[in-house]
Amino acid sequence: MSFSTAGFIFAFLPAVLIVYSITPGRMKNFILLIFSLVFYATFIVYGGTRSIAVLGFSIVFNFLLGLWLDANKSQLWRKTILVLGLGGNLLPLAYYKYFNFVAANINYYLNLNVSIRNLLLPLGISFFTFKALSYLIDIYREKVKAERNIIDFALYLSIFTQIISGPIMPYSEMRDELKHRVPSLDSFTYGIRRFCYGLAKKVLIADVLGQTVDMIFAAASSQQIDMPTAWLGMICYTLQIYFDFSGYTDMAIGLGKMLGLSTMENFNYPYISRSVTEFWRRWHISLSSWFRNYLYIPMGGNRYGNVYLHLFVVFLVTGIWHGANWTFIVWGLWHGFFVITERMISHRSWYKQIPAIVKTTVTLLAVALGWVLFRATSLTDAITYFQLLFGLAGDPLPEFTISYYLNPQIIFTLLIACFLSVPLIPKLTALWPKEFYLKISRTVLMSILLFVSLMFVMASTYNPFIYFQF
Amino acid sequence: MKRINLITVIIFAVILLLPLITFNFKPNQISTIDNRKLTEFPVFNSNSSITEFVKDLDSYFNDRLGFRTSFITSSVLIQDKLFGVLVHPLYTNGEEGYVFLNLRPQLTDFDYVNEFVDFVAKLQTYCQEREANFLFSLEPAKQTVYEQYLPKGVNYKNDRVKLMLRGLAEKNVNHVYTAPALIEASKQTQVYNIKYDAGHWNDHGAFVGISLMLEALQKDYPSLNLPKKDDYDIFYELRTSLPVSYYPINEKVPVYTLKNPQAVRVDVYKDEIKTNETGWYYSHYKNPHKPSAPKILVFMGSYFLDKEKFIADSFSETIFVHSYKNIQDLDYYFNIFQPDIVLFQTADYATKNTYYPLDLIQNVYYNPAYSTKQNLPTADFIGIAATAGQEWKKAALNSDKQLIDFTLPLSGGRISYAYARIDGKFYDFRVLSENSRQIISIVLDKDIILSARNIQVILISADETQQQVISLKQLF
Repeated sequence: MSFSTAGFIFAFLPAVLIVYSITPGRMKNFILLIFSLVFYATFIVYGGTRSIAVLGFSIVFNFLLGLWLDANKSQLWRKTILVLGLGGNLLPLAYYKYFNFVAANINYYLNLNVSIRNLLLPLGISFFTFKALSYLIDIYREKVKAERNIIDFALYLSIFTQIISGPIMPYSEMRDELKHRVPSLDSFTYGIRRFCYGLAKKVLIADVLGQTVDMIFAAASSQQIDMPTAWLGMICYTLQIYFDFSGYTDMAIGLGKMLGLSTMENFNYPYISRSVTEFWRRWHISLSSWFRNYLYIPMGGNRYGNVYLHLFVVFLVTGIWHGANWTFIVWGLWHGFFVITERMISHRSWYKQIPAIVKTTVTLLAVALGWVLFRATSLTDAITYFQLLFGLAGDPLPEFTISYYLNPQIIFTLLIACFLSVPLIPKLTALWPKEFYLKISRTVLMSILLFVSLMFVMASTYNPFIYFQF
Repeated sequence: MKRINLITVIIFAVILLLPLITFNFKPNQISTIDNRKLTEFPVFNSNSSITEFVKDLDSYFNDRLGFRTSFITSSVLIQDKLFGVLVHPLYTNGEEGYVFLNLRPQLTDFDYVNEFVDFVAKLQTYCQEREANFLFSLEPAKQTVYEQYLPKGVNYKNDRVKLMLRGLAEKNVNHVYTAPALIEASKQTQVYNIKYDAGHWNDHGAFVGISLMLEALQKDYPSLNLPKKDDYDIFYELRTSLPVSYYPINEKVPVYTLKNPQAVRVDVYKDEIKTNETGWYYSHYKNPHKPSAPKILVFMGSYFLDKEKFIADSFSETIFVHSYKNIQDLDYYFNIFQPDIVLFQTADYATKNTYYPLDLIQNVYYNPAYSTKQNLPTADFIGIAATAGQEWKKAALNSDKQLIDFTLPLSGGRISYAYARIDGKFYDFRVLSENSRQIISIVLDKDIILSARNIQVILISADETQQQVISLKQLF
C-alpha cells in the first residue's frame, strides 16, 4: 500500500487523519505507531510476515542498546556496545539483502554450491537500519541522549511517512517534534498541497513515463530498439526516477506536515547540477548526508588519509546500499569516478573556465548514463543498452521505432517534467503580485491535480477480465 | 487567508471521502467495465494465508470504491481527447480510427513455436491413426490484415507465424492459414471492424475464413456444403462502446443470420463434459437434414464464438470445445464423440505459453492406435477384478448422467497402453498411476455400454511385446 494507491488515499489516510485528530495529545504517538505498524504490515505481500519481526527486533534492540550506551561512561564499553549495535543492525540487512547475491557470486566464481535461500527482503530495511545506526552513533558521539520512551523511539524508526523510502532522518532532527508538536491550519494545508503535488508528480509524470520506459527497456534486452529509441528510454527514465522518488518524498513531507511533523527535504533540483559532486548535494540528500556524517567523515574525509580512497569507498557503499546487483555496484562506482575526477580537477583554472551550461550538460549526461545501469536488470542488459545508445547494436528496423513510443502524451509529459526539473516555479511565484491570489491559484491547482491524479489512481485498479469473449 | 486554508481542507476531505461514502458493500456485484465479478470481502480463517488475505482485501477495496467506473472512464477519455492515445489495458489506437489490441513486441520464443508445431503434428497423428481427418486452422491477428493502419512507428513483423507455417508444412500437417484470404477480402469489405472487437474478425471475416477451412475439408469430403452469402440475412448493428470498456464508439458491425438454419443445438453432455475452467465453452449441434454428412469436432478459439452459423449446417453433428487446455485431452473428446473430422482452430497470437502451456504440449501423451499393436501375441500377464464387467454395467445403469467415468485397477504387472473394443470399435483407455499401482480409465456415453453386444479390454504389456484381451461382456 504505497502512498499513491487507492487503499492508502481513500482508506488509510482518512482513517489516520480522523483518528489522530481526535486522539488526546499524550496518546497521539501511540496511535501513530499503531497506524505505522498497520501500514508496514500491508507490505507483507512483498516482504512476508518475517519483515514485521525484523522491524520489531530493530526497535527493541536499538532502544535497549541506546539506553545501555547512554548509561555507560567507560569509553571501552561504549565502543563495544556501538560495535555490537553496528553488527546487530548490519547483520539482518546483510543477510536479507545480500546473502543470495553473495552466494550466487561465490557459486559462479568459485564454483561452489552455497544454497540460495528463499529470502523475502523486508521492505524499507535499508532505511530503518540506517536510521537506527545514526541513532546509536549519535548517542555514542554524545550528540543526542537516548530515547527513554519506547513508543517514541518505535515511532521514530517506523513512522509510515518515512519507513518505505525515507528520508533517512537523524533522530536529533525528529526528537523535538516527537515530544511536542504544535498543530496549525497553515501547516496542515501546506501538507495537503505538498501531498497533492507529490501524488501528481508520481502518478501523472513518473508512472506515465514509466510505461514507456518499461516497454523500451524490455525491448532493449533483445536489441529490439534503435538508437533514437534508446536515448528516449534513457531520458524518460532519468525523469521518471526523479519524479517518482521526489514525488514520494513530497508526499512524505506533506503527510508529515498534516500530522505536525517536519520531514527533511530530500531533493533540490538535482538535474541543474554543474558537477556530479553537486548532484549528490541535491539528490537523495538524506542518504548523501548520512554517508557524509557516518562514513566519509569518520574515515577521515578530506582532512586526513587518502580522500580519493574515502570517496571511492563511499560510492562503492552507496552502490551496494541501493541493491544486491552488480548493476548498482557499477552505478555507484560510475558516480564515484566522476566525483573523484572532479575533486582532482576542480581547482584547475581551465576547469573553472568551462561554461556552466557545458558543465551542466556533461553532468546530466553522466547521471543519465548512470541511470541506465540503475535500471538495467543485469550488467549484460546494461552493456547492451549502452551499445544501443551509441549505435553499436540493435535491429536496423525494429518492430517499434521512436515515433511509436514518442506519442503526444509522452511529449507533453516530457516537456512538463523538464519544466518542473528546473527551479522556475519558485522564481515565477516570487513575482506574483498578491499573496491572496497566489494562495487561491494554488488551491485551484491542487484541486485539479488531486482530482486528475485520483482518476489515474483509480484507472490503475482497472483490471478487466481480458479474455472477455468467454 | 484562513478561509482559503479551510477551503483547501474541505476540498481535500470531500474528494477523499466521497468515494468512501459511496463504497459498494453489496455482495455478488458484476462490473460490466471489468467483465467480471467484483472481489468479495475476504474471510480470514486458520487456513488462509495472511498474504493472500491482504491481497484480496486490497482488491476488494479497489474494486468497490464509489465513482470508480466514472473515474476510469474519465481517465481514458481525457487522455484520448487531449493526446489521441487510447490508454486502456486492452486497446490501442491505430491510424484512421482503427483500434487494435495492445501491441506488444513480438515474442521471440522460437523454441516454443517448434514445440507447438510438434504438438499439432501429434494431434494429427492421433486422428489419422483412427481414420479421422485433421485440419489445423491458424487465424491472423487484426494487425496482420490491417497492417497499414497500425500506429506510426510500428514495423509489423510476423516472423513467428512464418516459422510456424514452415514447421507445419515440413511436418505435413494439414493446415490453413486464413490471412491471405482475409487480406484479399479486406480490399472489398471490412473483415475486422474498424474499432469494435479489436481482437477478432467480424462476420464478414468469419465467413471468408471458415469457408476456407471448409474448402480444405472438401478435398476429402467433396459433398461438403460451403456456406453461401445467399443463405444469410446480412444486416448491421450499431455498437456504441468497445467491449469491456465505456470508451464511446459509433460503428455499425455486420451480423449474419441464417435464413433457414438446419442444425439444432442439443448440448447432449451439458454440465457433464469436462472442460478446463479457463476454456469452458462447449456446444453441440445436430443437423437432422444431413444425417450422412461427416461429424466434426471443433477445438475452437474465440474467433469461433457465435460463428457456429457458418459451419454447423454443413455437418451431421458439430461439437465445439474451447481449445485452450482442452485440446490436450483430445483422446477424451475423441472417445466420446467419435468424430470423422477434428478441426483445431486458434489465433496466431494465442499460440503461447499462457494459453497452451509448454509443459502440457510437450508432455501430452496419447495411445498409439491399436492397429499398431494388434499383431502382438496374447498372454495373461495382468489381473483385473472379476466383477469389473458388472461394476461397469451397474455404474451405467445407476447413473443419472449420460457420461460414465469407468476406472479399473490392475494387479500383478504393469502395462503400457489399454484399449476398449466395443462392438468392433476401439476406444482409448488412459493408463494412470495411483498409489504405486496402475489403473485404467475411460469416459464413455452410457448408452454405448448398455447396448454393447461385445466389450473387450485390451492391455499391452509394459515392454509392448504382449497383449492381453479380457472380455467384459461375459462378466456382465
